[in-house]
Amino acid sequence: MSALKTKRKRDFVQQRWQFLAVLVTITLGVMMFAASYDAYRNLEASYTGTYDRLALADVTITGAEPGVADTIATIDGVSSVERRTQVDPPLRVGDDVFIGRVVTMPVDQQPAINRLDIVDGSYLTSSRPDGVVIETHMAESFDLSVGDPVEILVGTEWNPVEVVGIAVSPEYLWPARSRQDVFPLPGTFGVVYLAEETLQVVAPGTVPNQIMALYEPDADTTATDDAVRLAAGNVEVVTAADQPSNAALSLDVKGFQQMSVAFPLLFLLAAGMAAFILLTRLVYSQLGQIGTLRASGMSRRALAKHYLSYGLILGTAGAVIGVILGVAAGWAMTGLYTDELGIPDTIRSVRWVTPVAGLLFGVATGAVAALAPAGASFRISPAEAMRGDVPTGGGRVSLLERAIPPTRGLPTRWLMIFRGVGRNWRRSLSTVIGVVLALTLILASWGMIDTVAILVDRQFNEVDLVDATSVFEEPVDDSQVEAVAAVSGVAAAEPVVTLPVSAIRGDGSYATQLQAFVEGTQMHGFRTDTETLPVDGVVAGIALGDEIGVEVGDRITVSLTSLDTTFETTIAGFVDEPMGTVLYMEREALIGALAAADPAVDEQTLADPSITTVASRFDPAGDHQGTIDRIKQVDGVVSVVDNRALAALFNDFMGFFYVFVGAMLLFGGAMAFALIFNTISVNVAERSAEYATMRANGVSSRSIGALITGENVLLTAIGIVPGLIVGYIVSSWFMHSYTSDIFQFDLEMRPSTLVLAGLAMIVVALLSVIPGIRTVNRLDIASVVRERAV
Amino acid sequence: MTSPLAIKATNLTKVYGEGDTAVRALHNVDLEIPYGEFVVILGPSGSGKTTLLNQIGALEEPTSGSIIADGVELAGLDEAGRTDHRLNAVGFVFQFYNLVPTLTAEENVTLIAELTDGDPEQRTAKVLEEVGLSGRGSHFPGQLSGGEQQRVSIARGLVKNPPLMLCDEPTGSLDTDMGSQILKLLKDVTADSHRSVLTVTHNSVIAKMADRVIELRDGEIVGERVNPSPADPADLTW
Repeated sequence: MSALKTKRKRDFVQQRWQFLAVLVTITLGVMMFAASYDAYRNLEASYTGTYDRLALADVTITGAEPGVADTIATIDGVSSVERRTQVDPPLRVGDDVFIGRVVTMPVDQQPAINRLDIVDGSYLTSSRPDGVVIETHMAESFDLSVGDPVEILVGTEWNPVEVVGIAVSPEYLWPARSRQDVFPLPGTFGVVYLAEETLQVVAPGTVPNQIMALYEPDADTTATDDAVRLAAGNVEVVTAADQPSNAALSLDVKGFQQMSVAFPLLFLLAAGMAAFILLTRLVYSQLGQIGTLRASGMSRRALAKHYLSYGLILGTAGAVIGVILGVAAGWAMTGLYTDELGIPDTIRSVRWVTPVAGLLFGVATGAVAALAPAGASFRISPAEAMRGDVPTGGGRVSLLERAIPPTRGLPTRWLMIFRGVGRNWRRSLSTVIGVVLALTLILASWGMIDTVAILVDRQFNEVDLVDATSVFEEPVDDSQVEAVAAVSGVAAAEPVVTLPVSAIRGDGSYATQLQAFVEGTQMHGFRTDTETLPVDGVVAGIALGDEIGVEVGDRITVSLTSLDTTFETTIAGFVDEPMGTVLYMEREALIGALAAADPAVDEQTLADPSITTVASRFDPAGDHQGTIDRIKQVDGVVSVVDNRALAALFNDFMGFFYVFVGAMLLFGGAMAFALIFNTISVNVAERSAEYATMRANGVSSRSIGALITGENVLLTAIGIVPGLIVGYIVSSWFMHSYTSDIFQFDLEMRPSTLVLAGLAMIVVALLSVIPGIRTVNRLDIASVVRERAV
Repeated sequence: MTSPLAIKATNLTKVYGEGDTAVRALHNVDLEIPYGEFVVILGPSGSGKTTLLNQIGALEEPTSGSIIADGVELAGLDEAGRTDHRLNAVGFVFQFYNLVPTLTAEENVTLIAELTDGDPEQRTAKVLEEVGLSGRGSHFPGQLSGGEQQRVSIARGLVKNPPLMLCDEPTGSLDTDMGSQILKLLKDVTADSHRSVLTVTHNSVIAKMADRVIELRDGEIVGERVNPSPADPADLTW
């Protein structure tokens, strides 16, 4: 081993904790990149693999004329077209009744589009005409196995069928009922696949109402989508990208994708700065050695390479460890995720991009950080270096004293703290930036939890005010509403109309729901100026504006696929609701619009139990579950959906968010600790002679500890304000990127979050100064005062 | 004052390290220095003079023996006790000044003045005047010459009005002219009859101005003499 290598090795050992801090930060940065990038790519591959194998439809059209299928088959880029029937009747499993979904499939052979992956039992066969295949989530919710009975309600009759198979469907990897109902409660939704012939037995007269198309692999998706929309006309057209399950899962994948870039960047920046500070100090503390080596004939290039090698070694070591840990974590995350969601094709592969990019990131961080210190060693003249002066910063009056002259009268120890902040601007700036980066990381994740918590609260306490929704087996009129209202514990009950519709303007079409409430409804809060529904026109979720390009006052066409009619209406306003993009009307306005529609629909049609349900609000002091049980006893009630359970489900999910935020707090704290710790270590090393002299003059080690703490807490405090601002902005961008017609995730942050995040930084700063203070306490005063600096 | 002597050392021994690597820096040193004297401790490198100064200033603990400085037995004092001794009894002057670069000359002195009783600003102004830096108080160390920085360092030691000023090669970084000015200043501060100044140096010329000269070699006192007529620092050249 050459002497320089031995020197480097001993430098590493001597300042092991400082180098370790840099190493850990680089490792964390590379690890986060590798883990989140691999998870993102593996999940994407897993979804794509499943979609390809099971042929998820590229587009699904509901309510079109039968002839449209032939037209679509002729469109450039379309490879195959199939038709099927999809209806949403009540289903019954044991005593549990819920609104399900029945989808027809060919018998004895899988369809070409939206195939099923049978995980238990068998596919539909002609030998079992009463057999059905159920989707896995339904099987799990009701603990159903092959051979168990399921009943389908048609009219007032329950028709029994038997489960012959359990299957994963590419359309329900996430069991979303629709884009407006992405989170149906377990036990409130289920999908049953049966033969067309079987459906005709249980529901005679039902006709195929859906067309699905697959595109050529090299098709121009956007152009083909447009051509399909044109051919389909004013009906519901849902592309693969908008398909509810796929859209919901895409949000998660997108999250991993963003995490794979944004978060690692923060860490690598922090690691780079920590390494830069450490290595700069190393070079200046070794000026005497540099001078001697240069005087002894060592070239400047050799010295520069020597100091560059510190950064390269740190970067490479951090990158290798980070890549190994990150790839392992990415694999584990993918496995956990796909297991949890029941994705049949878990595709995990090592992509050369991950280790190569991870290594590049790590090595580049170390190299860039070492570049300036190495350059400094390159430029120093031997004579200057031989003098060995350590630049400790010149004296000047602090900014605070200049701005507020009376502060010059403060005790000198305070002035030392203020001036220490400006003593080495580069180093102080790096501490401030470290705090900013750490707060950004913390707030980006904490903002997510706040946003979700606040939006869930808003959704269930300000917007959706329904406690329970009752589904009847017979047409709903005043008598059913009154019967529910009369139940003990029910404070109010109203009929609510829910219809699948497409909102259309020009070429733009958006499949959604239309909900109609009685005048002055107590079941829904409208976030408009008047907080009520208009007498005429519709109020729409705010995302509709972008979806089909409409503004308040514009006319739109509402196509009601289930009623086979359309009417025109005006956008009277938009509501900013956390979940879904729904059209709202007053019930009387809807009745009027349908009477004038072409063809006209009479009021009685709306009474159909699949269209009108009875929404109720409970007495807050009452027994929630008891009230639901009593409503179930009302004559004609088929099922009761507990709307509050959804809020509870969301709150359960928050536990996962807290774990995530906790981890980010830990990582952010570690990042800030590494930077502040290194800055303080360097400061203490550089000022050891000053501190030792002060101690020789009788200043207690506690007072010196207070000086060090004061300076670094002040620097941290300076970083907190911009950190909170940058963190808020990044968090806002991060959350906004999740906003779609399904969720409006605009950032909401509690003031307490900002305060706690700031306090967390102060705590980290206090912890970070402990090693520095211990160093000062251990200073050999006698030797330091004679040798100037150590 | 509990003792007529500023310093009294008895069998003072200081050993660094252990076993084969042990270095005996001081060996059975006996020493008595009254108040009001300017004492030069003379010796070559490694003779133990700085070690002796460190014992007197309570920067280090003796391995054995006794040392009473300004009436306080230093052997066995804990860290708080040693800090207290340094604060109340000792003013240090080092070869490299060791000023805080972010504080002005005045503030470097005030920093220590604030630790003791009395009006710190008034006392700072007084000592700066004593060391001839009245007009330079607002300058930062980087704006002062080496001699001026050493004056600030002396003022920092004096501001506590300590009975002992301990100077370790105070002229080691200065040229002859500046060095003799600093020596004169140190000599002047003994005009206060209660204060003793101990200066360690390897420069035998400086010994000519001392009231008492103690010679150290290999950790032992090899000579001690009283100067009947100390030289004027201005007359010294080296």
